[in-house]
Amino acid sequence: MAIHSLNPLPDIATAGAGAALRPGPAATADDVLRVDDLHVSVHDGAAMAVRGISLRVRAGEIVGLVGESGSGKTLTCRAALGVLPPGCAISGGTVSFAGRDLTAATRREWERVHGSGMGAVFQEPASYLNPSITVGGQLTEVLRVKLALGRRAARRRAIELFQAVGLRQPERVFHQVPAELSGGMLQRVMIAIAISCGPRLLVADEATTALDVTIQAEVIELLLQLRERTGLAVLFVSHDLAVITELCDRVVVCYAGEVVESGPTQEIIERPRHPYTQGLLQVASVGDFRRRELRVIAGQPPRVGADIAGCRFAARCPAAIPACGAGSVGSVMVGYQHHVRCVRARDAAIAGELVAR
Amino acid sequence: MTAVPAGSTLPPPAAPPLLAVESVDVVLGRGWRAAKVLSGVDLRIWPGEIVGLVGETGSGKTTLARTVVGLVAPARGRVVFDGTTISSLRSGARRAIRRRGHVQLIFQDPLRSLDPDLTVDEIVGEGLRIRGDAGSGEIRRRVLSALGQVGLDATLLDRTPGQISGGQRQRVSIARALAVDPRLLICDEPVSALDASSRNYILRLLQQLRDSLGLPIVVISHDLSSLAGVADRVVVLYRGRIVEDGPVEQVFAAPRHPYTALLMASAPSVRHDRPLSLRQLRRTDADPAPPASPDACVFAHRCPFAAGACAAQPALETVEERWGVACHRREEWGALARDRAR
Repeated sequence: MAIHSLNPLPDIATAGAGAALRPGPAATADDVLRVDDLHVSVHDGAAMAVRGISLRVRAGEIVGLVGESGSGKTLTCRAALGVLPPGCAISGGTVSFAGRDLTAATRREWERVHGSGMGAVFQEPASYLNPSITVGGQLTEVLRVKLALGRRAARRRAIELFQAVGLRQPERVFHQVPAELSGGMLQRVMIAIAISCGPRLLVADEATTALDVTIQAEVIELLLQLRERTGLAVLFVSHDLAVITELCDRVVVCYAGEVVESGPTQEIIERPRHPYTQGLLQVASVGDFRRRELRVIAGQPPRVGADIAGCRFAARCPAAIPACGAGSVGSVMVGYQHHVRCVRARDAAIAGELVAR
Repeated sequence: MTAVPAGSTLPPPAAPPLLAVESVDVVLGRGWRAAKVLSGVDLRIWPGEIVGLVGETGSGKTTLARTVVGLVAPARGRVVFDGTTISSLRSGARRAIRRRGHVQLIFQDPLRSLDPDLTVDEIVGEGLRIRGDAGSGEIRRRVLSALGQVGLDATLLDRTPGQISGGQRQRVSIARALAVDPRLLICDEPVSALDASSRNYILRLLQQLRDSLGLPIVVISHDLSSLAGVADRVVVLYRGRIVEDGPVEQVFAAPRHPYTALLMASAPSVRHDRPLSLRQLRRTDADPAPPASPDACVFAHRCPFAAGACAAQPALETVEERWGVACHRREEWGALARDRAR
């Protein structure tokens, strides 16, 4: 199968699985995950790390969440999964899954959503698996608890799942403990566990960051296959824009707790309008294997939760003007599904000038 | 987004290498657990060059680095640093050489490799204190100068690794290495844990150190694209063997080993115009079975182009000046790959 997914709409249509995808602002019924104006406080309320992030993931859609460390991307996806670390809390906005508000969900309600509604994969698979239990045992446990399968049925299903995620010799893998498997195999086991109960959404937080490039490419292909076969929606969090563009239909760019730009992947790569997105594109691995100057984005992101009047990127922005610091910057639509939070968003000079540098 | 001077070209091969790893085998573990991690590795590093070492997990990159600094003893072959065969030194002499700190290692995750309870000041000065040939004033001066070389100022001196950012932490570990005036720097995945911008910053910093100090640097990395921006030479390891070693620009423009090509096709990219696709380079069940001989080419089991000749391990052969490739089918596989469906 093709690894490129730059053309989201035809891709979905041919797959048949995500036929419900009809993009447009009114398509709320198809939203698997909807995050609205999410605020997350950290350090027991001392600072606001996520400041009004909104995003939606539709059935069969792969959405990429990209940003530097401290941009709030991981907190956003942890809030969506209901597993915020201690000291962090949702202090505003809503998270809804398949039309249900989860912000006030009880532990029991979350338990029903976890596994059968949402699955999750994180960066270091080894630290999420029990080192002394066979991976087959860990997967069948989920199947028996969540789907109430019998011992034999669970085993059969587990081997099917291992096969589905591309593990060779699934019967053998079933009886192995995590230490006997490589990082790529463990991440496949984690994906098998995450999709074992047929979730509608998979949240992948830096799920390929620690893998070798060859394995990373295989995991990306696997996620694309799962989407085509089952209509799985994916929220893919990464700091690497290159990985995001390989996989995602839409990209959401976070900076210092806010969404600064979002839009279809192709649009974001070809016509990035926010200077931060343009910077990210310049520092990403662009697939250029020639000797060249490596670019950096000058300066440091603001301290988490810092109160800044106006644009939060202005201090590092090569295109900043006095108006940038004047007051809060709203998001404007500059193209089909393409939103930018920038004072100069409609300024034609921004679009070409910075990218060309 | 400022420019840096482009790096030097390849140093003259006539000069003697600073480091020579000669036909080194490394076996880790004993008895039935024994595993050959490196086989017949030949690697030379000349002063002033940046060498990128790439390969996947388990290919032996880290073991090679540990062998060079003397943390692992080779089972065969030798490691020569500046004319001294360091691999055959006995423990006392080896410790003395290590204490001098001519070869410095920098690790992937500074949060784990730096002591969380020490301040930046103590971390950077520790090597000098262990060596014991400098007074406290001299140590202070060199700590500040090393921090200056990595673009950090004295305000960080009293912080601990937990109180600074990831990029700053990696700069502290580079400063720690620089403080003892090393003659060779080996960086084991120095940027894998960093954001793209900090990654490029660190790589540019290494390039500047090479340019200003003439310091040779080995960078272990799996990000080929950013490596292409700074390295002069690239060495590709696969399962403990060097399969390709050559000038980075030429190798990446037209790799001669199918594994190098596979690595390049796997690298994530914003542009999607790869010369060869993954499908053209990956083995499928439809391809003829690879030779089953125990002595077969290490890559044969993953290589769609493996043929009868691949039943014997290929040697690293020079195809052009300072460009070695270990592949029996180096002349043929390119055309075969282009004939396969994208």
